[in-house]
Amino acid sequence: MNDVKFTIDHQSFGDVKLLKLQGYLDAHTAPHLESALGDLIQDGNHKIVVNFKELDYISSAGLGVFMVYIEDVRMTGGDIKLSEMKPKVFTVFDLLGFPMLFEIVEHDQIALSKFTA
Amino acid sequence: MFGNIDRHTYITLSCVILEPNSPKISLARAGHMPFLVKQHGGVSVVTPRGLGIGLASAKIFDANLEEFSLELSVGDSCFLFTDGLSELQNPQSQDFGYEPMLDVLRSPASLSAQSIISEVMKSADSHAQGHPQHDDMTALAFIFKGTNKILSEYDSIPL
Repeated sequence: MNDVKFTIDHQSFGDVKLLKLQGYLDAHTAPHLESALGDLIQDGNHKIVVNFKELDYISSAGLGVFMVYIEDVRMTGGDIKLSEMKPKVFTVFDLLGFPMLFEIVEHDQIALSKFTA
Repeated sequence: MFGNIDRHTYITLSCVILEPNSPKISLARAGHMPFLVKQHGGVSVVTPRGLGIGLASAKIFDANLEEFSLELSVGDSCFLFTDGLSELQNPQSQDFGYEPMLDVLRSPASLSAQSIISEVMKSADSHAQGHPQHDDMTALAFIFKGTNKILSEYDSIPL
């Protein structure tokens, strides 16, 4: 059921990992993303871009996932950057104040270039 | 709370300061939904900058907290709500949104805080068309009746 509601596509650009989210990120599907991010970080990947282009919905539980690892990746010089959000999804992040905590960009390319700059 | 609660967890909160002898009100928001305000005949969505509680250290939280002040006239009103209301969906997966709530505030029939709440809930119910509710729907309204006469109408809600 979760696979139908929510999928993650993994891509690599050098040492930067790109996760493309699709579907509904809620309390039921958030553990899927949390384990995907956890696996990446456990394998030593600390430069991560999360693409939201195909994400239709995010709940408060989905937002919480991004707080779990952010300190860990930043302590090792990495970051989690967020890109290509639909306006409705951006509004949810914006109301909670995420733009003050995370870099949210319009295109993956911008996020990738910030890691290589 | 940052560092003392589970990293997944945060709390959102809205704060309104009413001054009994003044038409001035102050609004602040810790990641919560915007304030809907009817003022001088128009309605607006007021979204002061503010982080959810537990997302960042007190220093970062304080540095990003904005206080927004308004001066109300008699008949002006303010409406606060939770995201369970604005994100209430109909069978076509469309959110209730802010606009129907602003419509209620615009309506000349919204003469009491109680009528604002009941009209918004009626409109939400009509929007949902029986689609199941997934989150709490909490709302608060107040109307400015003049200095020393700010009535929340909390006491007048029949129990």
